Amino acid sequence: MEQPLLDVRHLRTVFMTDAGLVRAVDDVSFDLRPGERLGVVGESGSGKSATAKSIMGLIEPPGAVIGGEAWFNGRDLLAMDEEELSQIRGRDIAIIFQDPMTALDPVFTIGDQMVETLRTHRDLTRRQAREVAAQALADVHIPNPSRRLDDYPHQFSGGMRQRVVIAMALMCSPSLIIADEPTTALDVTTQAQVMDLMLGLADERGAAVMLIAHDLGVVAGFCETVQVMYAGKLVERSPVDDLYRQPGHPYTRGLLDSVSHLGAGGDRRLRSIPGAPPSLLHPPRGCRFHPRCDYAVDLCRELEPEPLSLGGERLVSCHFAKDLAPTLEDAR
Amino acid sequence: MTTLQSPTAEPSLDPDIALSVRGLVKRFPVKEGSFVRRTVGWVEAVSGIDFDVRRGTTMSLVGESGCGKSTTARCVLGLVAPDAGSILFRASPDDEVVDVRTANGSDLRTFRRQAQIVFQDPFASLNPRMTVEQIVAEPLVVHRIGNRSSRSERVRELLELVGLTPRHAARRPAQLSGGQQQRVGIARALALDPSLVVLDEPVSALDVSVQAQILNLLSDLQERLGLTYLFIAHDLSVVHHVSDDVAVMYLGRIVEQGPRDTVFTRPRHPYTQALLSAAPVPDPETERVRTRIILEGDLPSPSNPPSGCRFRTRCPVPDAEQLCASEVPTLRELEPGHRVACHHPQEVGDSVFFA
Repeated sequence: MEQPLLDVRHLRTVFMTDAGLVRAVDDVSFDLRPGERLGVVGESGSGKSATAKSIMGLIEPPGAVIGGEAWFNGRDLLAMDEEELSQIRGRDIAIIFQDPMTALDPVFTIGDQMVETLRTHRDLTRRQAREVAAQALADVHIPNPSRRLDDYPHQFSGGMRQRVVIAMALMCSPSLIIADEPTTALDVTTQAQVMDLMLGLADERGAAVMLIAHDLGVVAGFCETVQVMYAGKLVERSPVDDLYRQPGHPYTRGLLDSVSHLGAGGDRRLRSIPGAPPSLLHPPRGCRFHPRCDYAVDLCRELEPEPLSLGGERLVSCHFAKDLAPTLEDAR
Repeated sequence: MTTLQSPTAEPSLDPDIALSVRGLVKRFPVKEGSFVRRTVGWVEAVSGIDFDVRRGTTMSLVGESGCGKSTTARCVLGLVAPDAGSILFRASPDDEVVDVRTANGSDLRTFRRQAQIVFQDPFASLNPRMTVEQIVAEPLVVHRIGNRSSRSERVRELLELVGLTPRHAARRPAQLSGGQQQRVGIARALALDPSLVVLDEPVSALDVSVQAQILNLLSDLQERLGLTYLFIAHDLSVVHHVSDDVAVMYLGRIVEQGPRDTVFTRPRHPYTQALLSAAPVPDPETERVRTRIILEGDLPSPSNPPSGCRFRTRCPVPDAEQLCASEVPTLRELEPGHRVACHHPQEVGDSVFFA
């Protein structure tokens, strides 16, 4: 078995609010092989972004990581201090957020920001750094890259800004790219352009990608493995084809059924998941999905399911994963 | 028997058409200067568009940000005044045609009862200090309909209609989930018994699992109440699901329009084809075999749009005759009901959606 690039064990992250303790990430474990493309899917509040931020040491008060480990290249990221982490962030692990302006400082030119990042992590002169930066912009198809280095972020369009952020993220050849809904704020045609670019460049450099999305469509096209989160828990992790063909968890199936497929007969009634995701202040006992699940029985209301192996690389946290999988397949 | 034609002839409209828009133009000034605001230019958000919405059906305006779809919706409702064009509305085949731009007095009041809107962000569109009951009853109060007890009865009826219960009436928006908030927004829109509802991205702020509930509700309501929908959206799979007819917009113009299945299975405009090819599909196998048309470059500035065809700066189709820069393509009917504004309409290759 290949050594994982990232190995997250029993991660727990909470947020202190006036109303009480929110368990945003509750005992989440997963790993990522070098060069792997992992999709993390979930609705708002499922803990997908909080997981990524916890790994990167970007959880700020009133939030805190209260447990777990995140091994990266033989070192536990969660045990590092801010100085060690900031060495790794940007060099070995790059993160791309939904809003490019969170990564760009509006009062400095793109060039200044890129040169500073480069010189923090690599031993380069200003002139060399500028050349690397211009090449990075050219790689993401920004016209006149050397000249555009002197522009400020607001002088770029939304799609271009995200491309600039991708250029910055890839400049230091990271081995892991965490992309948190990188194209959600962009239009469909720009989305395809940015995604192709990001993943093409990641492939060229052999970097692993953890792509966080709320959309099962984006993940289907770009990932090898998909994990689904619900209410702070990991409910399923499967190779992409298995997940879409034979969803193992009733929630995954519900998600797949509730999106309208362009190809399918349009007038079909959508099978929706009843109710709404639970409040993480008072998550339901037992399986967190049970109040919305068609298959729930007393066991589900009482006992939280452990991740169950379905063979291959499939893990499903459902008491009935083994019994349900064929049923779900028939029903589709 | 002879009828006297009044000087301002009653505008005519096919009885099956609930809403008819012709030559709609809306410009916004571009201002500059921090103390003295001077107008330095104009952005034409909508540049002369035509469409009809058939009674009891759903017509979708689809396009990316800045294409003018929301401005069009606001013009239709009379929320912003268009600079040119006509907007005709007829609540039912027996009613008179209302010219929305010139309507006043009782015509305008009728129109405002008959045409309602549901907004994208349910929380932002509901007053946080009001209870659900007050929110849903507000249109009745504004239009002075009924008394306290009849309104309360109507609110109960409306809540039930949208899948809420009377116990929700006393709650405030913050106490509801996103899906419930949107149900309240829909109940409010239906309070005055409208015939036309503009749905401005009604599910794009909601979680995927909740989107399906709201889409199902909207289609039930349409069937039960015979509503006509003008649907504004950027999500193609949602548009495909709800629409009877579709108009695709790019930089203020309609580039392609027609019955849903025609536009989705036989798109002829290069932009529609690119849009469809870029829409993510939740199926890994399809995703692997289909070809995406990746558009180069960025959306041109709407304040300085390209001459001729506005899509030409990003269009993948070669323009040997150099027609695209010099001549604005008009919508031409390529098959019954299917209109395309392109000098070089494309055939459907295997590049498109249904690979």
